[in-house]
Amino acid sequence: MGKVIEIDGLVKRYKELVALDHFNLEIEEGEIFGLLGPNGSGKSTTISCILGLLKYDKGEVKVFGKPMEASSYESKKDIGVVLQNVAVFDELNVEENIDYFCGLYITDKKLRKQYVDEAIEFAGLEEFRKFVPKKLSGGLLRRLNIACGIAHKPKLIFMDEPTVAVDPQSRNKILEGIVELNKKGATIIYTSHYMEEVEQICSRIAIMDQGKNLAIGTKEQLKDMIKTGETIQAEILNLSDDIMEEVKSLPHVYKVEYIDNHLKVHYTKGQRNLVRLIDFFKNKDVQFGRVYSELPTLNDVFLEITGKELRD
Amino acid sequence: MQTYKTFLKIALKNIPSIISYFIIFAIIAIMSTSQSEENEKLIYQDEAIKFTVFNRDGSKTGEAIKECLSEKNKYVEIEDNEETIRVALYYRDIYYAVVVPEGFEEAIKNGEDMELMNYKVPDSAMGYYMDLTLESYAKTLKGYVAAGYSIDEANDEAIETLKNTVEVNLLSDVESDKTIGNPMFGATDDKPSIYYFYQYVPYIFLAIMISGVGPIMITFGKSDIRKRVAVSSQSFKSYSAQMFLGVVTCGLALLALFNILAMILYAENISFAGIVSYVIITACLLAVSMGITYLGGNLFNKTATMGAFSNVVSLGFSFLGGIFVPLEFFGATMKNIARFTPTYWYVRANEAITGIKSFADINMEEFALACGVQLLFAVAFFSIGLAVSKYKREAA
Ligand SMILES: Nc1ncnc2c1ncn2[C@@H]1O[C@H](COP(=O)(O)OP(=O)(O)OP(=O)(O)O)[C@@H](O)[C@H]1O
Ligand SMILES: [Mg+2]
Repeated sequence: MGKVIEIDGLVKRYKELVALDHFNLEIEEGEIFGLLGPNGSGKSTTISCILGLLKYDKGEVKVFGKPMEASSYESKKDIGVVLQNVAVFDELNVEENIDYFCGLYITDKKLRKQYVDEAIEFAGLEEFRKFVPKKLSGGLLRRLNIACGIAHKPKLIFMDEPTVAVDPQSRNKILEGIVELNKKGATIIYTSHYMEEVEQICSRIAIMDQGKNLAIGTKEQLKDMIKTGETIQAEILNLSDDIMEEVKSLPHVYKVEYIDNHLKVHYTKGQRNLVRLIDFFKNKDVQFGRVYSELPTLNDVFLEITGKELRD
Repeated sequence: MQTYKTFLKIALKNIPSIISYFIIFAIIAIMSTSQSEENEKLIYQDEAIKFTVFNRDGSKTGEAIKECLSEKNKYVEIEDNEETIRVALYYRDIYYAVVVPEGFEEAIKNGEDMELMNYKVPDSAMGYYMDLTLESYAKTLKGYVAAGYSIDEANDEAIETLKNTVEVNLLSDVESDKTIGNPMFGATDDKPSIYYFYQYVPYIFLAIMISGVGPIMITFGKSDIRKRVAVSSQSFKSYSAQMFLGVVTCGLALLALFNILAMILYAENISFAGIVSYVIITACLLAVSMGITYLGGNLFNKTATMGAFSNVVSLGFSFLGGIFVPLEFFGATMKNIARFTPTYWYVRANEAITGIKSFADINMEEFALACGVQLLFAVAFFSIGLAVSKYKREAA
């Protein structure tokens, strides 16, 4: 499998602001690649630079092994784009909108008709064919926006936060659709600041902040990069300092916090941590309420790398 | 040709929103036509206006005024009594009563200002015409007195002077009176109805192009949609070219619609040369309308703003350029301002070809100038539009 996208040392400035700071990235064919980062981290800017919508100050961008330029029509034929803002014609209905954008790529009328129908079915808009955008709910509008971007069956699809402001049901439908497109052979670049989504569908993920690519890998690899392996929380009333100290000396424990009658034990790695902790409480006659174990999330990864939460 | 087709598709969907302009146009055209017929009768009738003179001054000047007015109008003897006058006016026994106040002649002699007084049928063309005649008479008389003539000589001269000008005044004065009453549909002389049809075309072309086609340009020019096009395999050049073609197609449709309509409505009164000339002047006008539309399309991002722009431009240029109010009734300043509107030149072009039977009847110099200036306006608007679009793209 070849590299679909290669970005090397990309720098983009908006006057004083450095939106992309020596950004590097390589994406393989067949991936669902997640670009995860908080608002303003440079996700959209990255996509605009790859697509040649923005001029950048430094660096190199290759798509399908070739430099991307305004006139790279051969490459563009195989690219589908769903930008962050909904971009459809208010005057045209669902079908006409998809037909227009599909027609920018597909000139054969019969083939286009088939593609448009397939896109409508894919987006679950069959009942809304004749609806104009104003009559669609937010979720349906997003789905139309996606349908317009992918109707021509591109091999490489960019999706910039396609689920923003969409209810959970619509969101799941969109995510399922993305996975389906990928199964049919499309490489997908997906940006989001929702870690759950990215974790759910992406084969590899890059974590971005302030225009930098901080970490890259599968979600397991990313979680392995950080110290925390497991966090166990227990509700305990009036925990004594002695006991706290003893918990700290249990195997694999590297940090213990006690806030608001909640004991939070951070483990590096290791197995059977939960059983061992409960046994310890019983031995010491510590009364405890609910106990639960959490595996690290991408938020923990982000927190540990940047020192701040992914979502504020 | 996907963009071109979609452009036209949206244009067709916009038709209901421009229908109102057709209705307005139809109303204006019909009103001006019927108005012009009515006024022709009026002028005919005006030949003899029944009037009376109350010479309270008992002077020679009072008698001279009577003589002067009697040249063209019919003197009616009536008792000098408020009630009698009212009744006479009401039953149109007289249309106008001049009152020469006591001491009028003395005042003229001394170069003092003293007004003649009058009773008249309110808001009538005749009343206005008589006012004007009297005013001219008084002015002329004062002029001769000031020049050293005796009052009798001055009166004789004034009567002579007025006699020679009354004929000329008649048409233009009555005309202006009507315009004062209803400036929208003014200026009736011997111009044919087709003149009025084409007179109002600029308003409709501007309004329809800017408010009907402008929003489509805005829609296609929205940055999000442009981005979609920019990342597609269609070149931006082709996209712009197709949009331009779309605008031109809509314009030509409008051009054809109005010219064909005129040919149907005025089939009997229009020569071949007339048809060709009307197509030429409306084509120049169309170029102007497209230029302004292009400029607006680049200046504004919202279709609502475009609607407001359409109103300002179409109404503004129509008033300033002498579409709604004939230029004769403009002051010097307004006339100078009018020159800077493309509509003014359109009106001149329209006038240059009124009533022509063959190409030889056209005042070619005037016609070419009027059309040429319009084309210059079109080029200017396009250029500004282009500059705005460039500036916007660079700022983005
Ligand atoms: N046209 C612009 N002019 C100036 N600054 C800009 C412009 N576009 C983006 N920025 C800035 O560049 C940075 C990166 O923006 P970008 O839109 O790429 O972030 P993002 O990760 O897509 O954020 P979001 O999740 O909000 O979409 C932000 O600080 C933003 O304010
Ligand atoms: Mg973004």
